[in-house]
Amino acid sequence: MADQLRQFLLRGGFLMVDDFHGTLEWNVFLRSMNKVFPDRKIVDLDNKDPIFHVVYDLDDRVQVPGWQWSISGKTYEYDGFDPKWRGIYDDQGRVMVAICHNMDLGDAWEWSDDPRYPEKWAGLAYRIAVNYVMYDLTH
Amino acid sequence: MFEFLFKYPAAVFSKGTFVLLSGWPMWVLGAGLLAAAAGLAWLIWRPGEARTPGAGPGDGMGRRMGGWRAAFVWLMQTAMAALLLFLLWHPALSVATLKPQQNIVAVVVDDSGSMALTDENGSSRKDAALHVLNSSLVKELQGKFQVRLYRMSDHLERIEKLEQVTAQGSATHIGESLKQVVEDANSLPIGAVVLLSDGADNSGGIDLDTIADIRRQRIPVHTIGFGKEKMAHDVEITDVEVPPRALPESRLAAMVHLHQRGYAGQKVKINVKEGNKILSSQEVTLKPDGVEQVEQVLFSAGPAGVKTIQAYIDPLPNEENLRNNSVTQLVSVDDRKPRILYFEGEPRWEFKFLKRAVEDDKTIRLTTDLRTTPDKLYRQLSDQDANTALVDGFPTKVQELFDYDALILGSVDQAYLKPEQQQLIHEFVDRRGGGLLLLGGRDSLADGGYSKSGLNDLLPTTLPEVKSKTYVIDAADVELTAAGRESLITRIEENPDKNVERWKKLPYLMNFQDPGPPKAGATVLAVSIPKGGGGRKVNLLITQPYGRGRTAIFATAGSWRWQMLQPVADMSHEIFYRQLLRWLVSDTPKRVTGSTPHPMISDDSHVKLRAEVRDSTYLPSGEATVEAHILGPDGITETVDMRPEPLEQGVYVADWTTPKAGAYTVEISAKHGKDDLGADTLTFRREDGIAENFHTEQNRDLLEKLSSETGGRYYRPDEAGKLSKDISYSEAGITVRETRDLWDMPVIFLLIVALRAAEWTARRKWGVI
Repeated sequence: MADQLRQFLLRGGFLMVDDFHGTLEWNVFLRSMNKVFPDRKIVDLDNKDPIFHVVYDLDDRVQVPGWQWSISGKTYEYDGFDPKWRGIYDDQGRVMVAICHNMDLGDAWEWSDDPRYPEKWAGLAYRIAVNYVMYDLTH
Repeated sequence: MFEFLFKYPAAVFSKGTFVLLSGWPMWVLGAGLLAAAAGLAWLIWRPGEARTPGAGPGDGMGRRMGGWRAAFVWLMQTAMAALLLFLLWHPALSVATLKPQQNIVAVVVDDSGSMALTDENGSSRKDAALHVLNSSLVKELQGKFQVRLYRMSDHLERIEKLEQVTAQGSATHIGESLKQVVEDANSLPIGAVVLLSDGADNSGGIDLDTIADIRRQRIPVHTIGFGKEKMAHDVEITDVEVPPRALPESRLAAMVHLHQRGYAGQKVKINVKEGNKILSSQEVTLKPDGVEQVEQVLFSAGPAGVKTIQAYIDPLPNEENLRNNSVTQLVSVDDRKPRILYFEGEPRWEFKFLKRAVEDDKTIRLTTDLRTTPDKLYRQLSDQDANTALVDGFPTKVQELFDYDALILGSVDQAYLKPEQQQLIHEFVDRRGGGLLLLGGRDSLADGGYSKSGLNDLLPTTLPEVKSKTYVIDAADVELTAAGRESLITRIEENPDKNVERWKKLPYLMNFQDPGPPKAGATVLAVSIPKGGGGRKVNLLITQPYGRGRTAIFATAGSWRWQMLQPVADMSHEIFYRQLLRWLVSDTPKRVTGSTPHPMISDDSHVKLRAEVRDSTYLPSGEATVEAHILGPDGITETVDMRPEPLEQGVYVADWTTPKAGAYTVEISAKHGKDDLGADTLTFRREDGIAENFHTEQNRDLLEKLSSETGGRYYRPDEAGKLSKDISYSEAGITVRETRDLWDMPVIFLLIVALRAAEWTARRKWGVI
């Protein structure tokens, strides 16, 4: 499986990872990702990276919580207090794995029509998605 | 035998004019002939006499013999009477002959290197020629004429003694040498030219002007041919064609022309090398004797610089001439980075994967402009683009678009491009000489309304006029056509056959589009075969030259599967797109483009330089000042003014003579007033001692043609003795017109005897004496 994912990514595929929180889940992800790319580092994405500017300029990003916010009132889960915008680059400097740690963009899209879920997060989640998809289509 | 029967040499008959000297009117001859025929008929068939055995001639013989026998006798007797009447009119030939001792005969001996070949019964061609001259020919000629000796190689030179012929000339220029003889004939009474040569001319033959000059002077050129007309064992590379210019790391094709004798069916290896480094090798099977064959050998151009490329075949057993097994050419690998603008109408996978395919190609600079929304564009600039490039979308100004070498249009509805932008694209291809590639897509080609656009004229196909969509999202296999098999654009594997198979095994396309049939002059390189389409083929990759540029259609948006469905290490997708894009830009000219017809000059000192000069909008610049700054071996430097070519606006030419062999670099610069129009650099190389190694078989055709066109005759060395008699009959020089009687030719006497004998024999056989 890891080999197949590696092949997919190296041929030009794009992977966006989302909705995992805190140290424990990060470690689980890291173990899996190390099987895919044992020799590639996961790095924090710079604000200047084209992935944040391809359609929308997303210099000001905030933590986008999941639907649990409407119950808990917390924007984080477990010990995932700060949103992490990370990625893995290929040899040509293109992001091939975009990692959205300590946030839940999927929930933001899913519950964007729920009046209890704030528009500011749903809107940001959509803009991030548009940028990521457009980045994939152009890089 | 001819001279025995006809009294005079054949030359008298070929050059002489037939005349009747009696002065009696011709009608009298005609009337006499009719009278004789009628009288003989009356005698043979006269009526009223009985058939009497033993009756004599004219006694009703016709009645006794009857039918065809009488007709035969009448015919024999009439022919006899006609012949006698004809002789009464005193037939003769009027022929111009050279006045003894008042004319000059120019004896021209080939002094080129090929005359040193020893294929004349163990002696060299030169020795055989000298033997012919020394044994009797010169003496016989000197008995009648003044003889001037010349030696000929790449020029003509008068000599005093035949010992000065050494067969060391570096080239054979028969035409130019004869021109000099003709010039001498303007002031000297040259009555004839005797040329002793193997005919191995390496200046491309004798031009028609030279032949016309000789004919005008009426100087017959008699030729004596030396050397084998066919080698027994030899392989010769006659030419190697390579593009004079290329982009770095391009895949190039060397078209190797060769022929052989004595090795038909044998396999040989054609190697292409630069210096000592072999770039490529290809095994080929030799065709039958004398048949010209052309083989394509692919090699990489390598990094920028001037490359001396040599194609050669290793010596074969018993080969007679080893010096014609290799040919050298120059390739100038330009250190330039062509720019391509890719304008895409919608985000799609083909856009992404095309970009990725050429991103590692350091030669090409790709700038992209993508419509992410109907009113929004996403620019991805190359390092050569200014930050302000394309801020207003697709270029609207000449300079803005003409800065690029090629343009790719993706899925862009033609309505998106204003009429003036479409006109600009048209000019970009036609006038600027850029490349245009149209990709398939839902808003491309016919579905994008291009058949009614200003770009329709540029397209290599006639777009179909259909109401249904031509862009089909359905799987389709791909296959190369015969032209695609040979094309470098589609060459993923070096071996053409393996390449064809490789294309068949590529993952199927995600979609295809019918671009319609190719226009005249277009070439279909590949077709798509829709799965479940019953084998129907749809044109996929079509190219064509247009104006100064070139256009192509790649009618799919689904080739990205070649990348995603094959291992990472597979480079099919990358190689294809890089080659397609390199083809698109490799011949896009600069504003000043210099060239020379022969970058490699063998044993010739003349070089022709040509420059095409355009202004900032790529219109021909006819009032420019164009200079060629030449840098040669041993510090040779010279500046040559180039003159405008009268019939081609914006074209400037210069002829220059290279002082010595070696590599030359020419920088051509053009100015218009104070405006700098640009510059270009070209290279050429002069090599000496090469030309005479090629075409070493006796070129009898050329010698025979030269003789027959000028009124002379071709002789083998063993026939040369006849020449001294034939040569007198010429209309050049100082001549006297002579008449030669024909009535006393032995053949006339024999004819009379034959006519009488035929009649007598027949009548004896029939018993009617």
